[in-house]
Amino acid sequence: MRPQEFDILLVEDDPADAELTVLLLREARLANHIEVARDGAEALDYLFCRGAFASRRFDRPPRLVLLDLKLPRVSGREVLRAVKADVRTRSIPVVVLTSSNQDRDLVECYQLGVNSYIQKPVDLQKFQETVRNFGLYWLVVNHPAPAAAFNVKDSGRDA
Amino acid sequence: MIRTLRFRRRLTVAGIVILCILFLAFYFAFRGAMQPEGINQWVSRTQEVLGAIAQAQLNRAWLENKVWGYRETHDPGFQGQFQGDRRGLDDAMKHLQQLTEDNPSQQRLLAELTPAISVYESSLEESMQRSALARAVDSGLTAESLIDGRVDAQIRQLFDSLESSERALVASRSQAVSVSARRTRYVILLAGLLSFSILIAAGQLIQREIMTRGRIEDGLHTAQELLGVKYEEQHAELDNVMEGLHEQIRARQKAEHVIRRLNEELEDRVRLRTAELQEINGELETFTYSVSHDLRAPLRHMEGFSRLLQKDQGDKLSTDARHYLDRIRSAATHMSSLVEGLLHLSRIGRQVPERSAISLQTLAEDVRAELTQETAGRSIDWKISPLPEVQGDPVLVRQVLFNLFSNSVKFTRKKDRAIIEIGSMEKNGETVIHVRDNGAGFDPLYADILFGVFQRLHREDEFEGTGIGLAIVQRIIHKHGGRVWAESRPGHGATFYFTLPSQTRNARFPETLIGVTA
Repeated sequence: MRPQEFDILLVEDDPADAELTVLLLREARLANHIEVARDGAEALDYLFCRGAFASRRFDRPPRLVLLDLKLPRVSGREVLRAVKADVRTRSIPVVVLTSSNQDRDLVECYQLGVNSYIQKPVDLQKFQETVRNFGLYWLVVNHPAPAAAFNVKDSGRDA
Repeated sequence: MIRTLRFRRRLTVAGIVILCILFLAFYFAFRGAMQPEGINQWVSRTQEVLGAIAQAQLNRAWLENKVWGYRETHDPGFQGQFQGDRRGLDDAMKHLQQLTEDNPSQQRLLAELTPAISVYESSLEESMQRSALARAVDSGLTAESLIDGRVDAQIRQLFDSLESSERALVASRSQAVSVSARRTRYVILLAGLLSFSILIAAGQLIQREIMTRGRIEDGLHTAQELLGVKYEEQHAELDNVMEGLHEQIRARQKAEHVIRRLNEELEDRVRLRTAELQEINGELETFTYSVSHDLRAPLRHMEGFSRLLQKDQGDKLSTDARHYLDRIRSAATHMSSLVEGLLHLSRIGRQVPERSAISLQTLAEDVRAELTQETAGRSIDWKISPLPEVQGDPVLVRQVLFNLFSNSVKFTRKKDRAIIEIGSMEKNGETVIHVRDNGAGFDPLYADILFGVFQRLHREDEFEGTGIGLAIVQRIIHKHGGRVWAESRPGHGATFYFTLPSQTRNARFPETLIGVTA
């Protein structure tokens, strides 16, 4: 396991939030390459290797996607739906990291197949703790899916 | 009915009696009327008989004349005439015989007379023949010697007897007729009188009957009129009643119409309000969602970056600057908890409470245990009375107890020995629960605003808080159809009361509140 290869996709439109999150992740030494997508469309381009990210390969997915729900253009919910609907991206762990703890959001996200739902605490110390915890869990403790899980020829979507 | 039958029988009897009497009278009258005819017959018969007697006597005289004539003249012509008259006398006698056939006494006289006549005739003829001889010889014969004097006298006497007998007969018959006529008159008179009196009696009977009937009829008329009046009265009364009923029906229909219209208006208004409420709810939800997402982020940034600043550059900052940073951070944290409280309140507002049996005892014990950490190092005397079962939403009622206990814990903080007590009583199918403490209490002047959102009765530096907790309590209790109120005096603690439907009561939560949250 080479920690240097950890890639995290942070989907966050708010620069302050993005900065804070990246700062906390780095502080926790959990990622040396963090890609930040400013909206849902950009995130989808990245995940589905198209547009500016056409050179990317499906079998080199990010180890973790941190997804905000309220995003311009394409919402976090739509990104989640697209990712979990496609066999090539379905195995990527998606953690919703958002301000809201509304039941509506929780229900929808879990029904779409989110791997984890985390509310960003206002208190920085708590936030720090939270980031450290889920970072450790998803990047260190958890076994990622092998490359074979992403090397699926058929790009057709399941029902 | 019986009366009519009796009357009819009487009338029939009277009729029959009158008919009999009239028939008898008619009979007698008829017979009386027939009598004169009989009398006439008898009279004419008598006259005929008398005529015949006269004729026979005339014929006898003529016969004697012929004898006398021949004796004088000896004219043979007289002989011839004599024979003719003799036949006439015989005929007269025969006629007499016929006429008196029905009279035995006359017949007897005739039976004597007829042979006498024959002797008389024979002696006359003989006399004539002798005279013829005497003319030739001597005629010593006299008139006196013409017939036997005795015969002649006998004949005369017999004829007289016949005549007188006949006349006597007529007289006696006339007598009988007049007697009969008198009797007939009496009978007719009597019959007439009888008939008349019976008729009068019958008339009286009829009149009486008519009068009786008239009286009865009058009575009937009166009764009928009375009945008619009664009927009219009742009819009028019925009409009045009917009119009243119609009036009532009309009024009721009108009222129903009004009620229906009002209902329709009400339904329309309810629909409109529901739509408005739904719209407002939608907006509220959008707002809440937006608050949940967007309002927290800046707070997090303020808190996060001020803390980062403090951490990284803290030693380079002045005491004042660090204090300001603290202010910024605590403001952000406070606002964050306000947002939390608001979101919590709003979530409870949207929640439809479930209804089940809850053990207040268990809930109170649980909440007290949950507060252990918060009350560590403090001396709190918890008095949890035996509590009943109530109906309600376990999660929400737990929240109520939690908020009230937390408040009590908070406001007894300055007491060396805090007392927090919970108890209940049954009243009108409700359970009234109270939570009492010996804490700071509040001015009862503000008891009304106590349950308002963001309403606080203590300064933040005395007792921290958001002013949401009691608002949540009130909202939950209202959702259960209960009431909530508080009593207190500053420095003497506070008592919070709330009601919940008892377990025994089959209560329903007010649907209107559910409607608002839909």
